[in-house]
Amino acid sequence: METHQDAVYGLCLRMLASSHAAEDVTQDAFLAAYRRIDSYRGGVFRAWLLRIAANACTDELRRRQRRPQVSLDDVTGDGSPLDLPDESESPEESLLRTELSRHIQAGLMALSPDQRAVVVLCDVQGLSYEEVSEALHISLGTVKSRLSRGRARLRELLLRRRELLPHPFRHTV
Amino acid sequence: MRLLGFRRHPVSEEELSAYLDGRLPTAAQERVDAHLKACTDCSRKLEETLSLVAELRRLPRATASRSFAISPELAAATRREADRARQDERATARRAYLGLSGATAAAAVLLIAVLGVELAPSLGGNGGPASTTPSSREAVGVTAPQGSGEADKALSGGEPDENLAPEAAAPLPSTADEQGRSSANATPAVATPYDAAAAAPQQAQPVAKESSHLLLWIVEGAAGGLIVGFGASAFWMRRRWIQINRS
Repeated sequence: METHQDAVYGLCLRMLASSHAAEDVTQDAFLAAYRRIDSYRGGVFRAWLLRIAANACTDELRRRQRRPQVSLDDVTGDGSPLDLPDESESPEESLLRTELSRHIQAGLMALSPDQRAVVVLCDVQGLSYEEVSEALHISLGTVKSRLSRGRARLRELLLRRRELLPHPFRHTV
Repeated sequence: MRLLGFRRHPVSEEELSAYLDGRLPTAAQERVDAHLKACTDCSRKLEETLSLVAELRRLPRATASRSFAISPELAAATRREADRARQDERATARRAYLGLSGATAAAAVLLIAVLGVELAPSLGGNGGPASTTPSSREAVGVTAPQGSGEADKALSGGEPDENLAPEAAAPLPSTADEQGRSSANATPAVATPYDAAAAAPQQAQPVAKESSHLLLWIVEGAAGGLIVGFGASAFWMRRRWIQINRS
């Protein structure tokens, strides 16, 4: 399980935008996987784990909807686990990248949880359509549909902060 | 396609998204290729989406600040918790099964009791040899059934037998034709004060019997429904209990 913990934690962090909640949900997901290991029927183990984590995230988001108390400051503020500096970049580039990263995360949070999960798994974590389909227990058609809608919505949101965006965004209106 | 002045774009957003992932069938891929050469909007959209996907892939990979490996202590605690939950569930299923079985038995007893009451002669069921059903009595037009003279006396305030009209004391006609003839010959009997006084309670008696029959049927139906409902639930709960015991 340890080999998959970064993938599970990454999904939870992008889904919940809170490092504390992501840690709690990741731990819950691993415990749930441990309890339900008898129900694992083969297939890609990572996809099975990610499905449990995605369900745990959905439960957490539903809980939040009932009792809203978490802000995005956790991942959009300084020292966020999502703001990992790239040492090969200049300070200016690094600052711009951090800003863009926060902007993208805010855009991800504006998507519906269903679309967000597909975009995170497919585009951020690099899973194939088939893996996403298995992880989220949805059809390939649904993966394609949610991904295209999520990308289109995210594109619209990012275009509102055109100055942060790289070349293709900045030169088109 | 033109629909109410709206022209649908030949390449959808979904096709464009699948195109950049190389997930379109060959024919569709070629169609999108050809379209992109002519449509600047789609070309721009594709370029922006490609750039977006590149940025998403470049996002920093989050690494957790701690390990989520399940320690032996945590594993033992999880097992204990799971065992406790299973025991609780088993106890709940057993209690529910026993309760539902008892409720099924009680409903069965109620149904048997109601059937016994319905079939008893005292209520005018088929078991009473001297009784006549209200409908048969109405068919022959009888106002005073055999054997109810004592009750009639009591109802009429203990009047002596000699006050009875001869027509009322006459033997019962056996068929409707005979009754028709006798009623045609006995016009004064309809107008006697005795008959007017006795008619009301005698008409009320069949109505009361009908009501009691209806009530019994309702109770029987309810008891039957409860037996089916409780029985099915008890069966399902027993299966659940066995499943938990096996797990």
